Amino acid sequence: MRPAAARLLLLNGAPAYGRLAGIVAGVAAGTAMMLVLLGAFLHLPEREDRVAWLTPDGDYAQFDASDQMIPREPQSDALLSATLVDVFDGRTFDGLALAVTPDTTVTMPADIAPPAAGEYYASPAMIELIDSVPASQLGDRWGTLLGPLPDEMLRGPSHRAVLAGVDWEELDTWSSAVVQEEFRTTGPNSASATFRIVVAMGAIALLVPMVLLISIVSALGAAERRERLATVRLIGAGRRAMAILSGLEMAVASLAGALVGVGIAAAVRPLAAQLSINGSTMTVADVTTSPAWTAVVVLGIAALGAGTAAWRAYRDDVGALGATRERAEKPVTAWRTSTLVAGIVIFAGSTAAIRWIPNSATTWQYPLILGFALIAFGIVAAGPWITRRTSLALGARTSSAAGVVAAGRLGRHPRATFRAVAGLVAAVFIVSVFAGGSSAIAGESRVVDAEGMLATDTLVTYLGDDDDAQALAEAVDGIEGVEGAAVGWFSPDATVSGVVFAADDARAIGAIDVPPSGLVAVDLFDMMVGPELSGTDRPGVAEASDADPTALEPSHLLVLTDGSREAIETARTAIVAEASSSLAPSTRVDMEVRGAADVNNELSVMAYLGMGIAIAISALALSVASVAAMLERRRTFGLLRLGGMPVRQLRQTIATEAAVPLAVTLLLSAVLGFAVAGAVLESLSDDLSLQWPDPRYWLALATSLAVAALGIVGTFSAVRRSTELESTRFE
Amino acid sequence: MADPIITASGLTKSFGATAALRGIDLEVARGEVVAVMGPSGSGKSTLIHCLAGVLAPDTGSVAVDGTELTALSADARARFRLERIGFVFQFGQLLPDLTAVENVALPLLMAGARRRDANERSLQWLDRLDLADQAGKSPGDMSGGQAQRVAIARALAPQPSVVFADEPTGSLDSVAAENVLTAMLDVVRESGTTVVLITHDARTAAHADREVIVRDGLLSGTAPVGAR
Ligand SMILES: Nc1ncnc2c1ncn2[C@@H]1O[C@H](COP(=O)(O)OP(=O)(O)OP(=O)(O)O)[C@@H](O)[C@H]1O
Ligand SMILES: [Mg+2]
Repeated sequence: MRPAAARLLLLNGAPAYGRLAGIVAGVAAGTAMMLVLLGAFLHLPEREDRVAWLTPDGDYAQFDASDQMIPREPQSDALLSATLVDVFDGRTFDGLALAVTPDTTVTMPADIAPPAAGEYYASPAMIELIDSVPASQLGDRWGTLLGPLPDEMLRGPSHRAVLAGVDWEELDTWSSAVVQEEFRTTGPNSASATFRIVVAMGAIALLVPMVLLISIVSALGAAERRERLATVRLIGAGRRAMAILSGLEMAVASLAGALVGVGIAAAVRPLAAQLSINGSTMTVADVTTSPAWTAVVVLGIAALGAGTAAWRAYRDDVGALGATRERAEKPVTAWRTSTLVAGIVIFAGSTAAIRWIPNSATTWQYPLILGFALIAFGIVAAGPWITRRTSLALGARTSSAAGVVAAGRLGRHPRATFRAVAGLVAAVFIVSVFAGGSSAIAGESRVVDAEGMLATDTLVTYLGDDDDAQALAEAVDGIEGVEGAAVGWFSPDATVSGVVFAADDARAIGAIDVPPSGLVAVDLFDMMVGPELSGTDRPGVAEASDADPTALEPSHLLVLTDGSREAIETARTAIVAEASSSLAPSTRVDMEVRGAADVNNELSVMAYLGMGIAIAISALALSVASVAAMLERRRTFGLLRLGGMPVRQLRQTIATEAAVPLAVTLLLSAVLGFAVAGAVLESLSDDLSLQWPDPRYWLALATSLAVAALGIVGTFSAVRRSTELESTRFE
Repeated sequence: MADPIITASGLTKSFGATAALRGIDLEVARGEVVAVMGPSGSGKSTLIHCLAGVLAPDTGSVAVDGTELTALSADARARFRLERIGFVFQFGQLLPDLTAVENVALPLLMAGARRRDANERSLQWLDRLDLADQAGKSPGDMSGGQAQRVAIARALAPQPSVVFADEPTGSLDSVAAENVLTAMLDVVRESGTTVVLITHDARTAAHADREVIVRDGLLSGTAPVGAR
């Protein structure tokens, strides 16, 4: 290749710069997101390792022949621990109760001093929360604050966690307590696997529009300088040399874009770290990639850009004589659907494996991601074929000139026409996956007050063997906003099932059809879970006439409140401080909070953010593609106008050319997206199932369509201008 | 003239500093085939563009089939072209993405014909121009002469009042040119369509009823072909 020819090709004025600027912008945005996502992907397991100490890992108490717990003697080379399940103002937080002997030899995480009974550590975010409310509402639950938990023990800055010291003999009575010799140092892989899958899918989701952008801009470049390219070919460059040159040009542009992306990533990392994953925001280090990984991403993207451009140049070669005759694309065959089919098979296979083989999520996450990636790329690969099939059907039926022209174009150039909308189609696929996934648990509480149900502001405490129900009831009695307390009993000899209450107490907690006096057995479970789970809207209440009042064992303490946060949290704090259980008292609302709602909200926030970026890149690609299509067909459109085709019909033609591939493939990607989400949910858990997506999904869909419409309408004014009869020459 | 279908008077048209037409008066009779000749750059194409309502002249008036074109808006002129005018150019006027029959059907569809009628009529026209076997081919797969005959079929299919042809055989060798021209003139004469035909070739012009010569934006002569 001669230098003169290279210059002619590479330095060709303003349009080239505009085009390259588009590449740099798109690639920079994509690279920045990829780097952040990769950082998160690589650090997620490590992040779970930091909080491994929160997970007790040892042996539960043994029981003797008479079903009594065998006490565990205090020992210096072991510790007792139990997970604290607690909540404040509707938000759960992590906690571990710990008992060690004063002369303990157990190594503490991050080498902190072991907390003695009545002392506790809390994370900085937790300390902030504790300080923001009266101690009687939160701080008093665990005694005296020793200091903050170090960062090495936390997921991130907003992680709320406590480590509370408890007396050995007391903790030994908690049924959830285990004895262990050391703290865990590695988190369960499963904790980060779901998030890693999501993050990887996000990165792939960004890759698709980025590759498409590069490919579209390369095509536009080739269209713009058909003549130049032909000249260079005439000078003596071979087809391969041309591909290499185009590849080099794009390598430089995408390398520049990737480097800008590294800068953007550095700038947005503090912001990205604010995203909550698994209950906490992240540290900047958690979303930072090592220099080596950064180099891999940058070079990888440059290589991807170069490869895409070179391949396009090789494929679209103008030949030494230039393109005098418009050539149709090589026919697209049904083979184009093979990637999609392979992706579906691999994806379905790995979800099935995760579902049916226990503990296989860690192994199968990789084929799962691969299958997902193949589906995402497969939709894009199959798009032209689907476009062509549709255009054939359209061409045979339409009776409008616009329809015939559009069908002709779609049928002969299915790749080019589909490429314009492919980014959006891929984006819609991804957003459908996430919308489907995050639909599993709606963010809104579905717990409501109803007759016969426990009031939503009543606290339920499960009492331990050693708890003094009467003393606890008296302790909460004087709290402002507490309207009463009722003790429920377990009766060893009652024949009716349920928690035994005095009739007056049963009425007070909201039971209906209660006999006038005496002891009654109440189906407390049904009163708490609601008709959907219990199957009845009249929870059972029965006379417990055969219960022996002297043999009753206290099992529940119910505290009725006025629903104010002060009353609920003060009562909860009073009970947590006294009762011997790892389960804090909770209302029906709190119990629901403990579900996966938070996790899903986090996932969907991430998904919609990524989606926004993918749509933005796709919009860039779509407008570039529309302009390219316009340029390419100036003469065609000019001829149509000359022959008397109204501008309105020309616009219909352009709109049809974009709308047809968009409509059919958008539908396909939405359906596939939901199917994928459904499969993942099925494989992850029994009690997650697909629901109707929330409004954000429809908003994202509407945004995609609006972006598409804007891209199309944007070319409308260009149609009139660029086919102006004064400016087109017909000979 | 007994029954002029085109009446143009005092036509001028400039492109910036270039005066392409400098005052042209022309009448064309219904059913007449007129050849327009003249050197390159003399204004022939500009003239027929003005006569066809593609360009609006700077001054002067053009009436075609009783309609005063200069009084019409651009959109109304587009409508008029669609209904009354056919065009044939030197090459590259067929839509590359459509088959021959679709190309011919296009103006019919634009005018509101039903798909099936449009197809039927298009096939008839292709048949008349000896192209029945090319109907399903796309322009890229045809010879230059075949493509030109498809273009002629397309210009004639909507049964326009006037067909304007700008060097329709200019890109063909002399044998093919002769074939295309006779094919066109046969059907034109049969249907009584008026034709205004630009050509550089005297042999082509010899097929016309009359020839006019344009020089520097002015008509420098007009003569019945036989009179020379
Ligand atoms: N759209 C335009 N913009 C600027 N100048 C134009 C335009 N169209 C025509 N001209 C100029 O007007 C003059 C007449 O052009 P026209 O195309 O009518 O010539 P012609 O007789 O058809 O020539 P040829 O035989 O080479 O086709 C020429 O000088 C040409 O450069
Ligand atoms: Mg000309």
